[in-house]
Amino acid sequence: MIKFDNVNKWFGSHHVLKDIDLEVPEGKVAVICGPSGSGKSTLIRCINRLEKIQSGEIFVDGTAVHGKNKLTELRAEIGFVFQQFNLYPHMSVIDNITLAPTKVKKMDMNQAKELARELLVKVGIEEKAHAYPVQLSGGQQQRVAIARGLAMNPKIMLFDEPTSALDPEMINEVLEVMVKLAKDGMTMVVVTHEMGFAKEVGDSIVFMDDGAIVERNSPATFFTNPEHDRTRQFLNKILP
Amino acid sequence: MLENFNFRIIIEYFPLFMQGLWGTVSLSFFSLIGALLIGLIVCVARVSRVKIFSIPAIIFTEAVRSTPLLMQLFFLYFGLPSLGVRLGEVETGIIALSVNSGAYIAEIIRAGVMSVSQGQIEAATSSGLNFIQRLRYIVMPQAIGVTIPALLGQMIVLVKDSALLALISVLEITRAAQLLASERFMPAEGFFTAALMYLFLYYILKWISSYWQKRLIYTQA
Amino acid sequence: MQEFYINSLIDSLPFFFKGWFITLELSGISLITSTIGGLILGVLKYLRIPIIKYIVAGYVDLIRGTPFLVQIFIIFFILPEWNINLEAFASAVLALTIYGIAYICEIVYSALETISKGQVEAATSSGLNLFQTLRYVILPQAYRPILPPLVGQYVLMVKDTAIVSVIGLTDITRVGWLTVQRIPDGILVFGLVGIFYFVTCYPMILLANHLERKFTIQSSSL
Ligand SMILES: Nc1ncnc2c1ncn2[C@@H]1O[C@H](COP(=O)(O)OP(=O)(O)OP(=O)(O)O)[C@@H](O)[C@H]1O
Ligand SMILES: [Mg+2]
Repeated sequence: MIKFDNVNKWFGSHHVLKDIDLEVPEGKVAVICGPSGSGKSTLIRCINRLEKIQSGEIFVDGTAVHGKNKLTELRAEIGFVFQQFNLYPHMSVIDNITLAPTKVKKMDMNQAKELARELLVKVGIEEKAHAYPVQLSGGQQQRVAIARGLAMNPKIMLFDEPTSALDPEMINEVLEVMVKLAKDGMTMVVVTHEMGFAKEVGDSIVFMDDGAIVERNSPATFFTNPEHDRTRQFLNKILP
Repeated sequence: MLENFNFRIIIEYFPLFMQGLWGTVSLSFFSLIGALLIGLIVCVARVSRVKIFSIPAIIFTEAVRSTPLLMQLFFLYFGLPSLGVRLGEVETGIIALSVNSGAYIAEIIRAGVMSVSQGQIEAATSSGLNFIQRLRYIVMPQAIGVTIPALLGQMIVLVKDSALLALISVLEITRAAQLLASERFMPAEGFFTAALMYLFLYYILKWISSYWQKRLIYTQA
Repeated sequence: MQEFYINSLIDSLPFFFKGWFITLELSGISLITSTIGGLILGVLKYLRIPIIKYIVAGYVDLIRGTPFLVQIFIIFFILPEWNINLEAFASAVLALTIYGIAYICEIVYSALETISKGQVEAATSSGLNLFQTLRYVILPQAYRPILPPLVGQYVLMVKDTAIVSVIGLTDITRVGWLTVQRIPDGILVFGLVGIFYFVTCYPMILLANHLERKFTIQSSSL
């Protein structure tokens, strides 16, 4: 479904992604972790070309992302959830969700609203349809952001530290939604340090350091018996 | 000092001043429309990141902002005929005001555009919205909201700037005062009346502006 | 024809330079006087001295609410009626100063407002008097928010000196106006005038932008 083929990226002279090879099969969940500045965000942002790469190629569903000119359809197939939610503050919750379906897919407004309501039920905040983002808690905003991503009926969902900006008591409500999505068979790439989530639904865990993938393993091996010292050190730091 | 102030003459010239008031208001209004159009186009060209659009937009804004309106007015007033374009004083004046304010409004809107977070734009990009759609649905609605007070400020500037059109004989408030001053040799009566009329317009606009600011704070809370 | 115009324009260049010097002289003097006046008035407003507060506010509204052209006409035509006779240059400096003060005073005042009241309280409770508090505590902090808009205001004032050409001062704009009577090509003549303004104002705009970037970055990293 997603395939990185020897991808390299520089910011100026700063080499931030080094020879990345990675595959995420359909319906599987890849969890990416690693220290700050290791390139996790950059890696995930390359998948829908929010960042350009300088060599190698990324394939989504068989299409080369960076060789392609027409991005709209590709981006419509990939939902993206940001650390900072990035809801549109001038629109109500329901308008946030219906914007892309009606403008990009030209879906009928009534149909889009129907869809939005279903998605709000799915993320558990159907009563907030007409609220504005500032009136919601962080956890609620992030669930709206997930619903907004799902509204384009994507084949893939990308998450960049979706719970890092949340107060601890709100983290679970967001993770629950994500677990449900994973169990429904969504292909997901998730940058997170929530290791409970990784154990429960992760199919593979990727550890990045300094722009390179150091280790990639099933959760069982990754947590109990990592191959690399660097991984072990990192786990010692973040695991309770 | 003002013991000789002649109120009679002001009453006599009142109809002329009313015409002048109307002139100032309508000149400012049409120039504002023109300036908004120019400002919007120049701003979009500037943020487009396409060099053949953004570079002319930058040159235009910087050239307008580094030269006086009076010079621009003379440039068009004496310059358009030598290009073979014959326009009336009113049209020339409106064009000069629109071009001048357009450059400032472009910057005002651009500041509003910049105030919309990069993250929202990325979110919109990720869900497949193209450049125009991002401007239309995400950036502009928010940019306009925060720029309204600055635009009203520009409107105040525009009202005052329109006084310069008196120098190319367009009838507005200052021209009315000039006529009174030169026909009856009563500059004090003329220019104090003019100043009062401008203050009247100024306070109206200021009041609208503070009303908006309050609303803005209210809706953000 | 065009070539003839260009040649006679080149012959008039010394005239243009003279006009430019008048513009610079006028701007330079008025910038200094109005900065001093604006600082004083801004501080007075900040100190919230009851009566002065209203006088300053009224003065600022009066100047900001009326066109500079009308102000200069009032000063030039009406002062003589009250037996105050100033020559054109002095009238122009006076008008520009009165005008500049009103704007600079607001810049100073809003910059001072950004400094927390706690600073004043801390300084006065450690025994500094009002003047010392201003001199050592408040103004050194205020120059950052003051400088960028102040330079921006200078640009506006240099441009507004063009308007004093209406009372007969032979600044660069009036030189253009006089020249266009002889050389009837407005694009050429006022294009040249524009170049003089551009080389004067554009560096100031760049400076204002630079100061703005410098000071906002520094203060956000505090
Ligand atoms: N737009 C940019 N321009 C220049 N350098 C950048 C840019 N974005 C990121 N970088 C650099 O690239 C490197 C990788 O950044 P990235 O944001 O991908 O790290 P990360 O693993 O997501 O870190 P974090 O856990 O802090 O989010 C960092 O050294 C960062 O400073
Ligand atoms: Mg990151």
